[in-house]
Amino acid sequence: MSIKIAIADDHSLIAEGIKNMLRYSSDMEVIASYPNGATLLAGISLIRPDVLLLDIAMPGRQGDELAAIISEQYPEIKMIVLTSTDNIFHIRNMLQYKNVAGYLLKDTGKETLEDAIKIVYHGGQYLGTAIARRIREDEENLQRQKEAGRLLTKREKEILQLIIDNHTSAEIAEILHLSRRTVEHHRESIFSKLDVKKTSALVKKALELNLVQR
Amino acid sequence: MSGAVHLSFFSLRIRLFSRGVIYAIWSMIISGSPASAQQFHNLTMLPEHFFSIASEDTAYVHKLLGSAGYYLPLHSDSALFLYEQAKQLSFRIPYPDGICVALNGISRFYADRGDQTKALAYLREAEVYCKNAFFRARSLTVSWYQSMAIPHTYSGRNDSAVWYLYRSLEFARSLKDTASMLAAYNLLGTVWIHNKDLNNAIRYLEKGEQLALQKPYTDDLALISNNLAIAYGNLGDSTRMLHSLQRAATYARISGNKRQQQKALLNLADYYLKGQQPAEALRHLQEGLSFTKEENHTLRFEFYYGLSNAWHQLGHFRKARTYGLAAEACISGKQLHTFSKAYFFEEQARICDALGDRAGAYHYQKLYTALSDSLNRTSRKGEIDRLETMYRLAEHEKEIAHKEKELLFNAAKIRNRNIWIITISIGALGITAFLFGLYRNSRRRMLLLRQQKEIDELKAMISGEEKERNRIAIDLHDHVGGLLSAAFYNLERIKEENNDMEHSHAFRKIKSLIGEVQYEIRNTAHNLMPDILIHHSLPEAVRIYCADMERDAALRIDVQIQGQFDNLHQDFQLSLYRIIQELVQNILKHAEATHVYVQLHASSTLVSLTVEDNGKGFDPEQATTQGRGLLNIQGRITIMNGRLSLDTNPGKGTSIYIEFDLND
Repeated sequence: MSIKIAIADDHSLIAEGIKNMLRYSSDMEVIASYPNGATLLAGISLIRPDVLLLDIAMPGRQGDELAAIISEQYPEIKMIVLTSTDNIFHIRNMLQYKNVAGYLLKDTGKETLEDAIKIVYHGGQYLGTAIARRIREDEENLQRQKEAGRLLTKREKEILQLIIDNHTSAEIAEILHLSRRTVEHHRESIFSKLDVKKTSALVKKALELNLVQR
Repeated sequence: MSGAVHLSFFSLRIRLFSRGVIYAIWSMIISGSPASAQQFHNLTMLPEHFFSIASEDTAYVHKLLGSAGYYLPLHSDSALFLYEQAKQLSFRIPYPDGICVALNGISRFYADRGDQTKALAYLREAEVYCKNAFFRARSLTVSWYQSMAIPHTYSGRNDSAVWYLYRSLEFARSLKDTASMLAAYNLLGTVWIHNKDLNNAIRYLEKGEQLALQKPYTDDLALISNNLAIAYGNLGDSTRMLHSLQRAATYARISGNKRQQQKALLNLADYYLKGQQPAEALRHLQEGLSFTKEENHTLRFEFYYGLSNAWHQLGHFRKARTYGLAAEACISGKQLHTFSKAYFFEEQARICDALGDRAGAYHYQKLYTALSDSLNRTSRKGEIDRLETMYRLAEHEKEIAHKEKELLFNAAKIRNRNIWIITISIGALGITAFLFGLYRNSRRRMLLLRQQKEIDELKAMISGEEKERNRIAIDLHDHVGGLLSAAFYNLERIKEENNDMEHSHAFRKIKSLIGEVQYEIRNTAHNLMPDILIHHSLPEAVRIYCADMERDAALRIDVQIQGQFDNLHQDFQLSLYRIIQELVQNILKHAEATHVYVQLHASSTLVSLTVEDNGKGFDPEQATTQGRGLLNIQGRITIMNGRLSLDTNPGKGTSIYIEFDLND
């Protein structure tokens, strides 16, 4: 029993290329290829592939919409995203769908593609090396940006200093030649970054963190 | 010998009318000989985008359909059985392409049986499967339209038949599907012949001929030439008919299309019999008979009958009688009500008479009389049907002409009304402009207007720029990127076919080059078109952009985003993103910084953006490249109703603060 594969890609050349690539693979078989979402949905309602190779950018319905529909309606079809974008947004967006079990770039070679199909077919998950690295980097970045939350801008530092020096917003506006609204806007940002509600708490925290001089 | 002339003349007409249409249509769609028909049955030959479902079930369906198509003109009952099998199997798989072709075939079985209601019912059922076919929806739809023409032609509704054929022609033309276009031209030709509108028939057939010659499709050319011959024959242009028949025979011989070759040879023989050239006729008949299969009784009857006729003309009555008996053996026990059969009996009566066989002569004369009476009745009815159809077509054309006139009249009325509307509008606009001018006639107002104009121009420029970026991004990503991927897969395939390729330095180099270009295109396209991201979340888009930049350049970018951005206008969000992009690029190019801080903050009344770096800074009073970069952003900020403030000095880094009001 060979693994039945369907391809959804608007480039006939690519669909053909994949088919050629898998021609000599004895245990898998490309049974259909669809140039857009409409024909894909019509086709799989008749013939179910085991594994669907899905592109993201297609005319009409995009890959994410299709992945959502297929996960909902055909829980038995496993999907591998085969696309040319390695943007982390697309990676995360596609992997959130239940049946999307793989993500590969279109410069993936034959052996990797075959491995991915087999693993996904048997219930596993497969991410290309570049994709896995991209996810890891992004997680690191996300973590770091959370920690960066306490950084103050130059202007915010000036205003924080003035607040600690007991100036009101109106006074600060006059000193810095800013509008009252702008000063309020900065205040809001500072309070939010230091996670405080009252001016007294703000002063205490700023001193604790050594952000200003008394 | 005048009897023989009369006889062969009729036998030609017989093939032209009672069977001409049926044969032509069949041989085109069912028999599977010309290019279009081959495609129709041979479902494994699929156009690009599609692959065959290589499972055994569908292959079996194809086999069933292929045999059914072959048997339909010969043993229609077997064909029906095969079509039913194919239909049931296709429903079980399920396989709409198979269902479509099977239902078309069943319909044609009934059409041929004279049950046009049933034929149409099957086609109605087929419609949805053909139009939503799995692999070949477009070309099966073209075929479906052509099939629809058949029961309509049979039941004398030529106008409907022509309508369906025009639809199929239009459709095939839009698909640039030459094979289907050829089929449509041919069918139109046959329907016009059926309707005795020979000039129209010739016009369409010649169009088909031109098209078929380009390739050349010899198979279709054979069919077209045969049909042209019928049309010329009916026009009484025997020279052109002869040439067409000769061409048909040649084309059929080249393409190996037996059916068309038989048809051409039979009609050529008829022509020579009519022209008292029995020796020529004999040659063609013998050629035809030599490759006509034993089980094809109808055709063998025609050839034997022709041979009998030829020997009759040559005065060899005994030989004529022998072939006559052979012909009769072919049709014994078969329901074959044709003029050929009637005239065959009449001729046998004459031959028996010449041989002195009175009893035989009487026997055949009786058969002839009985058959020709009933046929004359049918033919009279056919003639009445034809006149009715012609009347209907004439009425239809009159109606179209009437409607066109009405449309012209309405258009004129609308034009008149539009002139009035335009006149009044221009008048009203003129008065408004005058009052407006009076009202605004001050220097200050003029200045404001000029500023507004500048802003509008900027807006238009930026929006045009966005569109252009979008177009380039799509071109790059979809088209160039797609081609590159295809090239990559083909390389993989080369590797598969030549094992030593993997060790070739050049091969590996090409592969890595393709990979690099793919990477560049991905990045460029994404930078040009971030709108999908922004559509989902601007903060996420900004964070990801900065992370990408950080990875590509040796630089640390911290991002801090506060507040809600979802409610901001899409264009506004995109502009914010572009400003961040330009500021970060500016820093990368000029600032020599190691650390960048990007902060976006949305409160209820304001949105602010701060971008700071620890680079070399610059003197804002001097025209530096870094300062000039900021000028590009200034235009955008103005139309977004924002203000920019800059805090920088040489050696002190740069801090840019941009603020937008959210009031309007």
